[in-house]
Amino acid sequence: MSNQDFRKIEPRVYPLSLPVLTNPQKVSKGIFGFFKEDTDVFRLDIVFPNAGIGNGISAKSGIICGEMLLSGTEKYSAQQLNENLDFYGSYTNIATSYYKTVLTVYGLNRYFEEIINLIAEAVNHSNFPEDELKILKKQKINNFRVQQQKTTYQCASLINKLWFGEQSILGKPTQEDDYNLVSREMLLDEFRKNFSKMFIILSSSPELKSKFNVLETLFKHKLTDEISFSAKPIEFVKELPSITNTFFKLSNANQASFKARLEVAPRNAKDYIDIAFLNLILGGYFGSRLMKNIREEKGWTYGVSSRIINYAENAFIEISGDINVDKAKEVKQEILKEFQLLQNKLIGTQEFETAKNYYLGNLQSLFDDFLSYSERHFTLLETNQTIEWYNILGKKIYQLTPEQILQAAQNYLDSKSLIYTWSGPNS
Amino acid sequence: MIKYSEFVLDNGLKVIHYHDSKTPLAILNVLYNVGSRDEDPNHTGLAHLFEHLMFSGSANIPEFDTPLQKAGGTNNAFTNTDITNYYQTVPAENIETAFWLESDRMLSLSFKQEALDVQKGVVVQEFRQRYLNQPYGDFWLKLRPLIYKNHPYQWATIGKDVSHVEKTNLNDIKSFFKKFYNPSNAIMCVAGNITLERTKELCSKWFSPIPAGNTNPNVYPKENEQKAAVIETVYEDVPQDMIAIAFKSVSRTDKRYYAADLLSDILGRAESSRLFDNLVRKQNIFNSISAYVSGEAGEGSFIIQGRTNPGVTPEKASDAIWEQIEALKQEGNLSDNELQKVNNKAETAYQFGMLQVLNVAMALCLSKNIGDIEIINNEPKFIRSVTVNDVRDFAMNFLTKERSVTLNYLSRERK
Repeated sequence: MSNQDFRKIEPRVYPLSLPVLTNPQKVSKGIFGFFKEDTDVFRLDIVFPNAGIGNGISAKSGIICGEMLLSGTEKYSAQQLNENLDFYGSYTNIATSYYKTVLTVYGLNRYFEEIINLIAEAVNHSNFPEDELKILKKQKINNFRVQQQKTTYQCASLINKLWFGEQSILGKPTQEDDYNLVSREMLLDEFRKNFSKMFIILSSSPELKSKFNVLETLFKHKLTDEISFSAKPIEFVKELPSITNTFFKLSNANQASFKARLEVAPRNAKDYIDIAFLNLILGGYFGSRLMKNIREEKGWTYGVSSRIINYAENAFIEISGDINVDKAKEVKQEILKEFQLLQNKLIGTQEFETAKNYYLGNLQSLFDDFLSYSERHFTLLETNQTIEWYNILGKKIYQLTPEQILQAAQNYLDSKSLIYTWSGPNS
Repeated sequence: MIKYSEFVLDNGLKVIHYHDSKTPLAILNVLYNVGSRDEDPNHTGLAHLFEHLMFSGSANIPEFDTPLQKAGGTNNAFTNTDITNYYQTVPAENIETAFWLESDRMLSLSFKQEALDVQKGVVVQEFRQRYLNQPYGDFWLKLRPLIYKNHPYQWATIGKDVSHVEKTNLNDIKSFFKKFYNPSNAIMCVAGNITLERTKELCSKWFSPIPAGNTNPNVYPKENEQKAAVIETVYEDVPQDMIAIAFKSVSRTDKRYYAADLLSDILGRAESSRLFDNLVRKQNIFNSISAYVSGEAGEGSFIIQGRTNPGVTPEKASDAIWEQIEALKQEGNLSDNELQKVNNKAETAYQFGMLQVLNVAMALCLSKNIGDIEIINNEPKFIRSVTVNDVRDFAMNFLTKERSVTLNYLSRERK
């Protein structure tokens, strides 16, 4: 053995074990908590289960209503509210999805009460000042114009139209007027109708348990134990694509963007975990088939990926990437080739075990990130599951076989039903 | 308080150990003291392209990613103007795999033409995706050479031009490796659920046998003092004008850096900031605006940038920014309360940052690389010690018209 030969021997790899995740503790009506010792900071998620895009009065009123929650009340102007929240060192984020709006607050434990009092003032008494609405609308329109110059945006817009249909709130392409039409009255209606119920998840050290009465008192009129979401079911229209509706020309683009979609079974299906693993192999991590083929072997792209988008009743796989302009058509053929391979040939042991361990390692990292629990939990609530679903996922990943993945590929990777769109300088 | 240990291997590799028994994970973070500032002005983007090649196989291991994935690990890297940083996150019981992989690529890469050709293609696509195919994407490519005339901070990490990436050959790669990818030019942090003894044992096995090599002297051309304002106007296919006013600032190790950082927060960090409140909310001149410091190890920059509302001329926008800067310089215009606000924001950001063991590992390496590892613990104290006068002094000395660089990045429709 030469003095460097020991480097040719791979160190032993030990099997991974996963901890068990538990749902947040219910503390009182509409208040839940994840607790961990020794943290000087907290994360508070206020979830409005009726305030999703799916329930919005107009195309953009739900999103704007959510974004304006911190834009002023009778007592405080937007400037005063922001000034005070900033003074106590807090950070806020507001996100609206099809099912819900979530206001997330990050802060220092020592200012918990001060921050929560300000948030309660906003959540209970938002009055959507006209001037602030004007500013936000201008910003939205400006951002929309910027987005329109992006190939990724145009490509997404095309595929949403085909997938959800032009009549759907998720498929109808955005127009500037969608923002112009939003009025203060509409926001007040939206606020009354869809922001009247909420539940809270606090992620913090146990010492903040003593402050739960503050949350109960401040939010008592809105707190609910109904933690399911009320938006109506989503339909996949999947309009058959033609040459004219699958390409959007952006003359000055230096690159093309593509997106491809395919329906799969939703998260509550028996074989969902097989599908999730199939997605991993296809394009779900750096070592995936698509990354190896299109990036690492051909150098056509900086990145290509696939992911599963879940709704309560249905789900789809989306494959996307930005690519050399002359490869946008060829990449579709490469995707189809990968489908065929997955349908016709069992995944080799080495690739299978590598992907499995990678998945389990990823779950371990995820379980280690305490502050991400709440987000994972309320996202799973959209499909009527809870964070404990990850325990089932972990167990099933251990038991998966290549035959199950082959079966999933044969069941779902149907080349004929793939919808593919792209945007770039030329077709 | 982050408690860590340090030791140095005979080949000069500086090792930091940070123990955290609450996580099931372990981190191996290696920082090389080489960034885009170390490139030839006629061949830029090399440090970043090199980072890509570090994943294309090494002397004894044909593929980097697969063994790590098999051990349940993930990895990534980034290059900036000053450094190149590689990190691996692995279940703690499998940390030796990370040592094996990281040490082998420090020993030698496989230097294959095919891998170079593929990665050049990938980097060209990254160049397009991030800088050329986005509205305002080349903003920094245009601003940097206006701020810096001599120093290599004048080009971005991705490089000046796609052609620089395309012309790279294997000899360039081999020389770059020999010059910079040596134990004596690196800092490694082993963090997470691993003991100091185990760390020493694994370092001794995997890293000690690697020859020392050269250390980067970090000597760069100096900037001349700027004596007159620079104003540049470009016309691009963007929907709305963007105005940026930039200034050369101080290095990351200069105590005044914290005053600069807090000043940028006071001016333009959030919606309660002066620039947003006055120029977006009250005067309706800007659609969005922010201020920030770039934080390089050397003389960094202080930037104010915003997109204007339709009908606003660049002159009016620029004057409005200057009015805010000048107001801040007036005595009595900045209160302890306003300073306390940005102080509290900085503390929250610091506390959240230190919750993740990977962030701690990176911060330890970065602090060590700029010459004072204790920055990781002292930063909150340094921030708290900044006074109203420190902030005003910085504004008066650095944010002056003759030191300013204005880039009017205008919509072509205006032309």
